Amino acid sequence: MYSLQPDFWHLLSPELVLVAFGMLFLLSPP
Amino acid sequence: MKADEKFKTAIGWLSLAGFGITLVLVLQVLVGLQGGSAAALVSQDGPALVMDSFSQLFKAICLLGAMLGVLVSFKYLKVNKAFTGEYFTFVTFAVFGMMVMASGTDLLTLWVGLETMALSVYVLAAYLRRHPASVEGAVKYSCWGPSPRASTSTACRSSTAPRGRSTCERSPRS
Repeated sequence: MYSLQPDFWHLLSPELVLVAFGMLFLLSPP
Repeated sequence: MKADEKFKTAIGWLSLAGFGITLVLVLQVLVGLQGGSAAALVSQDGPALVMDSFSQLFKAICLLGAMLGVLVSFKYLKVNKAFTGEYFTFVTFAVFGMMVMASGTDLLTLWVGLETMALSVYVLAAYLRRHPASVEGAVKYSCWGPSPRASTSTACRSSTAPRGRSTCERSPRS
């Protein structure tokens, strides 16, 4: 159905970095 | 300042750094496009996630807004005794949803972006849970929020269903 283009990782690198930072905060203790 | 508060403040600054790095990457993609556009994700109906100058501009605006928002919320959260590290996660995921929406050209991609943003904003609306105005705002948002979203999706669906396609891009055949 949906197919990734060859430069997917380069084009979506900003979003991926943002999600990575979001996941780091989820690991923080309350 | 207690060690716990120092740690939470560090998380806030770390989120600001994350927004900064993302902004640099957005500008890097913008320069790499050289005024053109490139699809990152393609469905059977056509492109679903498209990077172009317009989408990158809106991503930069969202990121700058989030950075300003995080900067002013340090003191606000401390004054209202709601300073937690998770706050910055919600802001981050709300901005992620906005960025997906900025690039989305397919109804499903737009929908996923809208929902990712909305879920985080629902939590942020009720963030000061001991503050009556915050709770009232969250209740009103959760009551009235879905109705315009549902009507928007119905309008989008009825406008694209006759063509049998979910993408917003113009078909070469039509």
